[in-house]
Amino acid sequence: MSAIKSLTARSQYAGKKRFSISAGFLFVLPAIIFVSIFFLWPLYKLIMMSFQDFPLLGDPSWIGLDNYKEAFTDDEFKGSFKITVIYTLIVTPLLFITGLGCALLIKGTSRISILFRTVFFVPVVIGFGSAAFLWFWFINPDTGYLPQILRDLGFGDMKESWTSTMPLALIMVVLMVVWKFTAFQMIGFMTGLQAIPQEINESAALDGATGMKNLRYISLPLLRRTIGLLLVLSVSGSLLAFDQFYIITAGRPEGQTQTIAFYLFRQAFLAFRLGYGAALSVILAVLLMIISLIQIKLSRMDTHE
Amino acid sequence: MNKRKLVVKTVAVVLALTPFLALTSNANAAGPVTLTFWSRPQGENGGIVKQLADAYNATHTDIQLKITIIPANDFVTKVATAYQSGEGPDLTSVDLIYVPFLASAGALEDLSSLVAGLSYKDKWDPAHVKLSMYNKKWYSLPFTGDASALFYNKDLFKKAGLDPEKGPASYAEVIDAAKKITALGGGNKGFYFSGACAGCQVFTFAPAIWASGGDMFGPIGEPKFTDPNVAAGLRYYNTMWKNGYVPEGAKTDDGKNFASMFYSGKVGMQVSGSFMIPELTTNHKDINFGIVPIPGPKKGQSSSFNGGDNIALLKGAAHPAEAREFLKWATNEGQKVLAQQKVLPTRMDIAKSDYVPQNPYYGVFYKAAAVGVAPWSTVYPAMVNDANGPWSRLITTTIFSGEIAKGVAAAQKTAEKIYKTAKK
Repeated sequence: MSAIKSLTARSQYAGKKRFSISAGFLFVLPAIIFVSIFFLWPLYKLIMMSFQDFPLLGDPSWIGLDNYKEAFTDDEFKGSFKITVIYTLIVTPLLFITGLGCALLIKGTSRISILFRTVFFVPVVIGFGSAAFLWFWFINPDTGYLPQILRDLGFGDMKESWTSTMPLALIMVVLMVVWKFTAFQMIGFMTGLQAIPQEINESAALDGATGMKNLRYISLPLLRRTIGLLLVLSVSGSLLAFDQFYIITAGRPEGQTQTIAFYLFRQAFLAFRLGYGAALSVILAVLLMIISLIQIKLSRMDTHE
Repeated sequence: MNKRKLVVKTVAVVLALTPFLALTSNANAAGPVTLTFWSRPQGENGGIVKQLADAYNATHTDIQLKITIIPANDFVTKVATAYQSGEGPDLTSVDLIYVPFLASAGALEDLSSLVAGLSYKDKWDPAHVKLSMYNKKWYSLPFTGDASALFYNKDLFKKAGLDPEKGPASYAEVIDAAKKITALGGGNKGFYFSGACAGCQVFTFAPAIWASGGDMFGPIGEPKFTDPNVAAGLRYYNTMWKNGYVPEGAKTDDGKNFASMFYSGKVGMQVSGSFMIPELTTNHKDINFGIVPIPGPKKGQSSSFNGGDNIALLKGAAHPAEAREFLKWATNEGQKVLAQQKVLPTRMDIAKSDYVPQNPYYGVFYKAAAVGVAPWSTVYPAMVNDANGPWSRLITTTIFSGEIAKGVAAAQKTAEKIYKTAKK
């Protein structure tokens, strides 16, 4: 109590800037403590673990860079890397298109727009695991609705599971993720579009830029910050994808839909090699950081023009 | 702070601490010793361990059992993490295939001296004995059994012109019966298995390999996928698949339809466990079924996967002497309780006297247990259970594609990579 009093008393003489730094720091302190305990400390432990042979049971031993060396020669890890990147490259633009499309379609204030906004948003709030299970049941050849509908429409007997061949297995997961996350992107775009002042749209309309022309020359450039943010979220979420693959495809067929997170889960919790799992996690985290930094830099660059 | 507040705070602190006083007094009290015992759900309704504990607690005043049931999925991880943080139980019942892992990690007490003093130590079934040991010492005792055998539909056999009282006794006889039953048409198929389920297949398909004396693993878990008996087994199933004797759903069944296919009455043969018997005799009385041992390539050869649990004493247990007393009971009188509750005992003598007479079908499971096998490996989850591991990859692909040599080579390579990281 008295510390703060003396700090602020001192800073009244020292000047306005000093005051805001000291008090500001104290206000942020609880958050710093929270982040340190629940994020920084575990991150530090993870990095330490990645340099050790750390079995689930028994004593860990220091092995330096051996886990990393193993990761770079691990064919299965490389394979999971490949499929994760392919998945990210497919899902990100898809979500962008559907999110922006929905935002443009229902950005009005009519009751129908509001209704559809809610309907589209419901999948976003279902947990990822639950959504994956729902979809898993939905496309199941024996009990699912979708194969039954196609059967009734005469498209064949639909006996073959859609997760047992590529690229169908990947497509199933992509469909589920698009269904789930389109509305999230939609809300982001809607907010971005609503932030564009009406006068700009009006004067653009006077110059003949409406509809697609407006979108291309006015809206999209002004949405750069929003696009940047949504891209970072979409890409990082996709690179970390686990639940949907674990539940819907379980890595089938033959591990071809095994993402990085899935592979490191297996190493840590099925092979009980926590040290190796930690090293793979660190590699993934570094990759994510680099990509996010690049994206943020790119989206910031243009707004200063 | 005024005096009143101080008094209130002191009283509050003291009251908050009294539960801890109770804990310290327990160690010196003259009351019964409580043993903590963890297990996954076992038996027909998952409640056998509780029934066992109730039976023990009712007849013992000096030792009482406190059981905790943990879902099978996370069992080993939970026990391992609890043990690491010093909060593990005294005793644990664990799926026998995890014992080598736990023993190699130094989590279990050496029970060799206890076993040496048991009059019935040569009456256990071979699979549970093998899995109890690590480096030639005993680290757990056999507890519950669960053997696999071949079920067949007697009515379909009769319709196909086969003797309904004689189940098939070799690969060739199985293939022949499957062919004749499929030829009946009307949606009938000769054989079923859950082709996308690694765990199911080690229970139902692997015995076909073991029956000839072959194995995917050596005595300490070294990968031996290149054993020619492995290829022979894969070829046997592949023959039935490519000739259409197996329903198409088998390829992608991850275990969901494991039992329901046989219950439909349209499947001639399927390997399964004794858990199917109550379901068949209660809800599918129209199915006239027989059970025989799982056949090998030649007549007279048979094997089984004898799973279930072993029971172990964790290092650092609070009451090791009392725990050992319970272990003696669990492998003796406790086995009779198991038999009464229709769980296959691991004591073969008690299985014969108490389990077999209860049901005309139980005799086959007793015989199966006598020749039963379970794979010994300190990295069993990664090798066998993992849906993306070498065993799973092998059986979910080669049985259907027929590319056996390629599949076996790939499985051996992956397995060797995993085996390099295993504790020997």
